[in-house]
Parts: sequence; structure tokens; C-alpha cells
Amino acid sequence: MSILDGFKSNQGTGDQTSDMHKTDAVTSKFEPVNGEIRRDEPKRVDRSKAHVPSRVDKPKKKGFFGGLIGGGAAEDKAAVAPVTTDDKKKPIDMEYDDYSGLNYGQSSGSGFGFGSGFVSYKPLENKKFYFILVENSKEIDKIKDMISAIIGNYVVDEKSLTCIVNYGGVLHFSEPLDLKDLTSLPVLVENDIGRLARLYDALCALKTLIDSKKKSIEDDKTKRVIVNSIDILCIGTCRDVGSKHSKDEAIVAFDEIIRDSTVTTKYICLTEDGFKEAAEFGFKSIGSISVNYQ
Amino acid sequence: MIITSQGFGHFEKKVNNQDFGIESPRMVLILDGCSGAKYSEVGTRLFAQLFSRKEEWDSAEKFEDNVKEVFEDIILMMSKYYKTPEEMEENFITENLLFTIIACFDMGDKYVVKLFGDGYIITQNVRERTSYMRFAYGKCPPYFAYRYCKNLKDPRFSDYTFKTFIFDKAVFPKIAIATDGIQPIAKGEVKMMDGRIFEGNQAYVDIIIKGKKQKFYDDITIGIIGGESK
Repeated sequence: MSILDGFKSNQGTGDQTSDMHKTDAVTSKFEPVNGEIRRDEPKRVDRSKAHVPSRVDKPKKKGFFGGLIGGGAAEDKAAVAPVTTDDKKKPIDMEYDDYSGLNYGQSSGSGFGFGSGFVSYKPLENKKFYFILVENSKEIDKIKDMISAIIGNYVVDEKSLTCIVNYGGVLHFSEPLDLKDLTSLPVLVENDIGRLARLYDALCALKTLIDSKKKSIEDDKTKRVIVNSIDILCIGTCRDVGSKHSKDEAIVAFDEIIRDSTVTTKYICLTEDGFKEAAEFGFKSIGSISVNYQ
Repeated sequence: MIITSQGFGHFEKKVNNQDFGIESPRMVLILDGCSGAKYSEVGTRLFAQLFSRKEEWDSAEKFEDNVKEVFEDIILMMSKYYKTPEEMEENFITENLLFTIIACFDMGDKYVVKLFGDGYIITQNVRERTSYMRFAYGKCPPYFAYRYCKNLKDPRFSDYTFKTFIFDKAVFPKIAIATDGIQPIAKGEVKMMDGRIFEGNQAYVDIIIKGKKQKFYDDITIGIIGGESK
């Protein structure tokens, strides 16, 4: 049975309102994004091209009530005004996009009402993304509890996602974490604590990662998530040992990251010796963990 | 150029602006009076007046010696008004002379910043990105005047010296210094200020600070070499 079969078989049957829909379903060029067209489902109407069917058609008699109440007078009136007494009592089917959140992306809806088969929009949720770069060095290892506390205090947005980047001899990017996951997460990769600190490589890799995350929309089951602001916190000595990228490359990469006004940056140095290096990269806010006058 | 504005917290408490600054074509000096002291604004203004009378007061090489001489002159002048050194320490030095000293010198191909106490150095790199370096030491920052106090709770304070930072102009074309009242700007709570600070547009900076005055609890003073102050 082709999709037109329904049109043919439904011609001239049923009541006025349902007739209109069934006819329109065929003439409409609208197609649901997901799933196949179902012939018994109401569809969006392209009024300009649709056959305007039965507004001037005479409504058919419908059993007892049709004969008693509607009668011949109703038939005459219908030629002028399409809305009959019966129509007033019933809610008129309206066509609109379904925002109810049911049957997201599914073609196999319940088949009842007008929720199924229509284009549905998942709510769009803004998220802040924290990237926290932690130097994987012995100096940091000595104060890792303090580092955990700093990170815990820094990430305050409950809806945010956090990615912890450990840079030592290797670069280690954690999976995006919720706020509650941060409390139990070790901030250092224990088997990589050493003399290497590939800060420049980390900044170049960060640029690639941020480019992929920024303004991208990710589909979830019940919502779409857009990363609308990014916060970068870097903790370390601001020295680099063993990077494959040059300092200039890292400066250019980082500059491209912070060109976007939605990106906020902060560097927390172990001592004030690293301040100038951090300023050379362009970190906006630079501070020290130590409060001793050095 | 020196921009200074009373903090909203001080305005509410009817405390005068305790910051002060002086400048010459090759040097800018800002002083941040301790909020906890009664007459910090008197100390900063008195020190700045006398300091600017010193010979070669804007020389980087002689700066630390000049500061020391002015402090000793002030203490010597006032000593006859107090019966004992302890009384003077308690009633004059700690109530008048506790202030941060930050100076920035233009040395041709480099900037030299000298700092004693807490405050900010603001840099602009070659890509015109502004950075705020925060020098903070808790609630009790070290002050130069502690050198003349013998009854300090923390004896380490008497050993502190000036910190010196050298910035190559090829890497940092522009440098500014500021008191810790600039914190709302450094934290990003007040926007549209980063580049403007270095443009020397005093009126614009003034308007922004006054427009967002409730965010600035502490007095704010920014010193930039060049430009014209009011």
C-alpha cells in the first residue's frame, strides 16, 4: 500500500475536521526529521499547496445526533460557515510543534494525539567548561591536598563540566567530570611524577580540545548541551621541560584560545618566580599559592 | 598618569582615600595606606611630599636609599613629640606610616618595578593581552615602617626588603602598577578595562570606576608611566 492509498480511501469519509487532516497529510511536503511518515498521523500543513477540502463541503449526517440536532438547517449553514454546533463542542485540532519532550527523536510515537512524529526540540542547556591544568611535578606532589582544595573552591558552578589536564612527561586529559566527581578525583597521575613538565605541549593540545568543544552542541537523551563559556585554571611553576612544541607556538596557541571573550584564564604559581612567564602567555589573573614574602 | 579613586567601603565609613601617588616622566610612585591604621592618608601624603623634594628622587638606583632617608627624617622630626620610642611606635609609626610602596621606572629598553608590601603589577604582552600579577601576603602585609618598630609580633617583618622586577620592553611593551583595590578588575568582575588602562584614557577609567563604585570596596590607584594626570 502506498502512502497515497490512504488519501484515496479516506476521500469523502469521516467528519469534516479529520477529513481535512488526512488530505493535508498527503499534500504536505513536510517530512519528519526522524522516522518514516505514518499515514494515520497528522502532519504539518503547507496551506499554499494544500487542497483546501471541506470547509464548503456539506457535513455528513452522523447517526442520531446528526439527524436530530443538525438536521437540514445545519447542512445549509455549513455551506456558509464551516463551524457547526458539533464542532464548537469539540476541541479543534491545531497543528504545532511539540515541545513536550516526549518521544525525542523517535518515529514510533504512541500514535495518539499530535505528539508523535512531529519535530521535537530538546531543551538547550548552557554549560561552563573548566579546564584545569596541573603540573605533574614533585613540587606539586608535596602539596597535592592543597591543590585539591584550590580546585574544589575554584569550580563552583554546579552545572559545569571539568576536565583535569595533567602535564608531566605525558599529557593526561580526564573525562569531563561533574562537580560531585571532583571531590574524589586524584589531581595527579601518580606514575608520571618527575622532572618533565610539558607545559607548551599541554597548551597546544588544549587549543585543539577547546576548538572542538567551544560552541559545539552535544545531544543528550533529554537535552542538548552547549559549552558557552570556558574557564582555564593552571597550577604549577610555569616552567617547561621537554616539550615538543616551542614557546612561541604555545604562546600563539594560547592567544587564540583567549581571543574569545568567553574564556577566562588564571594561573596559580607555586612562587612568584613564575609570574613573568605566565604573563608572557597572557593569563589574565596571576597569583601565588604562597603568602610568604619571598 | 595616576588614577585614584576612593573605595566605596571607605566612602560608607567616611574614611578618606588613603592612597596617593606622584609621578615624573621616567617614574611613577603609588602608596597604599593600611586600612587598619587611623591616619594612613596623612602618612602617604607626607611621605610623598618629602620624597619628591629629594635629589634625583625618580632615579631607580637611588630609590631605596631615598625611601629610607625620608622615613628616618620623618621619624626624627616627630620624635620630640613623644616621650619614649615605644610611645612613638604605637601612636605615630603604626598609625601613620604603614603603607605599601610601589614604584615603576622607565629605563629605556626595560621597566623596573620596586615593590614593598602588597599590590598589583599589570602587564601587557606583545599580543596586547593584559595580565594582573597579584602580590598578596594575607591580612598583615609587610610595610617598610616595620623596620622602625621593635615590638613587632612577627620579627621577620623587620628583615624584609624591596622586591625588584625587571620587564623587558620587547616582551612587555606596557607596564602599570596598582594598589590592591583593583582586585574587581583583575577578577573580571568589572569588564572593558583591560586595554583601556594602558591607553591613558583617564576619563574613561574614572567613569568605569565611579559607575561600578560598589564593587570597589578598597581605594583604587593605578599608576602608568606616560599620559597626563588631572
